Amino acid sequence: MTKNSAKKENHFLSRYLGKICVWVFVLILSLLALLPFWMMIVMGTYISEDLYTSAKIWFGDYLLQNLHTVMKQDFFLYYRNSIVVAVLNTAGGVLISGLAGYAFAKYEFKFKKPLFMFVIATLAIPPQLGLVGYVVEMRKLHLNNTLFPLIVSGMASSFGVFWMRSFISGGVPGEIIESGRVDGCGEFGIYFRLVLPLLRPAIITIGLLLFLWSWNSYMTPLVMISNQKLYTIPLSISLLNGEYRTDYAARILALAMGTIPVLVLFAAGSKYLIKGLTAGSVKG
Amino acid sequence: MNKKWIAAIMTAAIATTSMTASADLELLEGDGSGREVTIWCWDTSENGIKMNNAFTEATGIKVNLVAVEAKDMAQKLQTTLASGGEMPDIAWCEATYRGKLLSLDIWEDLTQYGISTDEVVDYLIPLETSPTTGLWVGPECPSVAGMAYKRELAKEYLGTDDRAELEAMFTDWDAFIEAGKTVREKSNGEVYMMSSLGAMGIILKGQGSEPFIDGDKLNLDASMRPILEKLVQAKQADIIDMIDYGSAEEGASYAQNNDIFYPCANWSVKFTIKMNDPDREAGWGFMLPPGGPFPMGGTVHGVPKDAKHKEEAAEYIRFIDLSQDGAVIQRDAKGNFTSYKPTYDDPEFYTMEDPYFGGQDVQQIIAQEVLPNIGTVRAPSKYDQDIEDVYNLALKTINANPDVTVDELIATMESELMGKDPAITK
Repeated sequence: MTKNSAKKENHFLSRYLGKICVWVFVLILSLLALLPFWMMIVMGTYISEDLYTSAKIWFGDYLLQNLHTVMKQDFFLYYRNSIVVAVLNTAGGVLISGLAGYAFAKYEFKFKKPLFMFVIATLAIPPQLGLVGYVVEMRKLHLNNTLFPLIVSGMASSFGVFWMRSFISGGVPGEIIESGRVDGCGEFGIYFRLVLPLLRPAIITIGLLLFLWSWNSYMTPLVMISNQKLYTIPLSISLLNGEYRTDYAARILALAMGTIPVLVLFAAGSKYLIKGLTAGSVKG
Repeated sequence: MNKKWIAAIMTAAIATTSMTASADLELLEGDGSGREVTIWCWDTSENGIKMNNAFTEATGIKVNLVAVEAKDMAQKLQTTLASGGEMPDIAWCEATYRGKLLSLDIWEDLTQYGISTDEVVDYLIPLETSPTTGLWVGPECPSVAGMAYKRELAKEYLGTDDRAELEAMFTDWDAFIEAGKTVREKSNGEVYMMSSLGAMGIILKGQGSEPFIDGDKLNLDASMRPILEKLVQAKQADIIDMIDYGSAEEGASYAQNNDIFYPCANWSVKFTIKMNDPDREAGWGFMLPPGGPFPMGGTVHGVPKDAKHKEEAAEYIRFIDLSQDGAVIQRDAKGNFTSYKPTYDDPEFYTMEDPYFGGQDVQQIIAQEVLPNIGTVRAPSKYDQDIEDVYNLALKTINANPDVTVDELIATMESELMGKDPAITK
C-alpha cells in the first residue's frame, strides 16, 4: 500500500513537475516581455522629472495633466491622419502585393524572371536613397504637404510582392485556377473569387506588417510634411517640447496611446498572423 | 456592464481633457494683410506661443510654427532644399548641429535688411558665423553658465556654502579635484563632486577656444588633450559619479544627495534645477566654476536664402532678438536672455532674488558677471557633430576604464574622426 502510494506520488511528480516547470518558465518569460510595455503605460502617469527617481511599477498621479498636455496638441487630428494614412496604405499595399505576387507565381510572361529579380533587388536598397527623388516627384505633382505621398509610398512594397508570391506558389493549387478558367471565369474573377479566400493568412500577415510600417513611419512624413495639421502620430510627438525641456512622460503617454490601434489589430489577427508566418514551414 | 463603465469613463476623460485643451493658448491671426512668417523650431509650448503672439500684436505679422526636432533640422532643411520644396522663413539651428547647418551655403545675409552685428552681444558673433562662407547667419539667445551647487552638501563636506569662499577654494581644476578627494573620504564614498563626466566636460569644453579641427586638419592635441587630461584625472580620483550626462538618471540626481555641483546656464535654473528638484527650498547656490564662466548651448535663428517671406523674417529677428521690446518679451515669456547688447547696460534688467537659491540673484549674476566675462569662444565647425560623437565615446571609455591614457583616447578619436569623414586629415 505504502509502496503503491509512493509510486503514485512519483508518477504524479514526474507527470506534473515538468509541466509546472515549463509553466513557471513561460510565465517568467511572459512577464519579462510584458514588463516594458506595462512600465510604458505606468510611466505616462508621472511627471517627467519623477520618471527615473525609482522604478515605476504602479500608476502615478499625473495622468490627467499628461493627458491634457497631449490632447491640447490636437492629438485626435494626428490620430486621424495616422489612421487615414495607415488604412489606405495597407489596403492599397495588400491589393498591389497580392495581384503582383499572383502574377509572378502563376503566370508565364516575358521578362518574368528579371522583373522578379528587380523586385527582390529593391529590397536591398535603403529607402532613404530614393527619398529626395520621391519628394521631388511629389512636388512636381503638387502633392507635397498632403497625405497622399505618405499613403502611396508604402503601397508598392517589394517585400509584400515577394511574400505573396511565395505564399501563392506553395499554397494555391494550379488546379483551382484551371477549373475557374474551364468554368468561364475571367482572370480577375479567378483571383478575387477563387484565389483570394485561400490567401487570408498571408493577406492578414502582410496587412499587419504594412499597417505597422506605415503607422511608425517617421522619415517620409518628416521631409514631406511641413504643415502641422497634417502631422502623423510619430511626428506629433515632437510637439511635446519646450525650448529647454522635453516632456518625456507626455511623450510616453502619447506613444502608449499611439500603440492602441496596432495592439488591437495584432490581437485580432494573431491567429492568422501565426498561420501566415508558419505557412510552408511544415511539409504537408 | 464593466465594458460599458470603462467606455463611459474613457469617453468622459477624453471629453474633459479635450474641453480643457480647447481653452489653451493659440497663435494669433495676423492683421489681415497676409504678412506671415513660418518658423521651423522645437518650441511650440505655451511660453513660445505667448512670445510669438506678442510679436503679432506689435507688427500684425502672423507667425506659423512648424515643430521640427533639433536633430532632424539638418535633414529636413537639406531634403527640402534638394527637392525644391518650400523652405521656412526662419530655422532654428541648435548648438550641436549649428556648425553643420551654418556651414551650408543656404543662409540669407541679414545685413541687407538693416540688421547689424554692432548690437549683438560680442561673444555670440563668432558662434553665429558660418565656418565656410564667413557670413553672420543670425542671432541667438545667449546661453551662458556657471555652476550650481547643493548648499547642504557643500557645507557638510567642504565646510562652507558661501559662493565667495567656494570660488576662492577652487582656484583651478586641480584644487577642485583635490577637494573632491576630501569629500569622498568624509562621506565614506557616498558623495561625488559632480554627477557625470559630461557635466564636468561641458564646462571644460566651454572654457576652451582652440578648434578641435582646424579647417580639415585635426587639432585634438592642442584642444581636446587638456580637457581629457582633467577628466581622466577626476575619474581616477573617483570624484565623478557614474551617470550619463543629460540622461533622465542625471535629472533624477538633482533631487538626491549624492552629487554636489552641476553646470548651470541661465535657463537651467528654471527648466533643469527647479523642475528636477522642486522641494529643495533655499537649498541651491550659484558660483563661477574653476576656470571661469562658459557658453553652454545656444540656438541660432537663421533665414534661408530661399525663404518666401524674408522681409517678415528679418522684421521678426529685429523685433524678437535685437530690440529692447523683444528683450522684455523673451525675458517675461520664456526667461531667455537677449542677444541685444544695449539691454545689459541696465544692471536691473535681469534681476530676481531667488529664495530657492537662498536669496541669491542668479539672473543678475549671470547677466552682469557671467556674460561679460565670456572670453574667446570655440568657433563652430561643420564637424561639430562628429566631434561630439567621438567625444561621447571617449567619456564612455573613461567611465569603463579609468586607467585609460589620454594618448590612447586621442589616437582613437583621431582614427574615428578620419573614418567618419575622409576629408579630415592629421
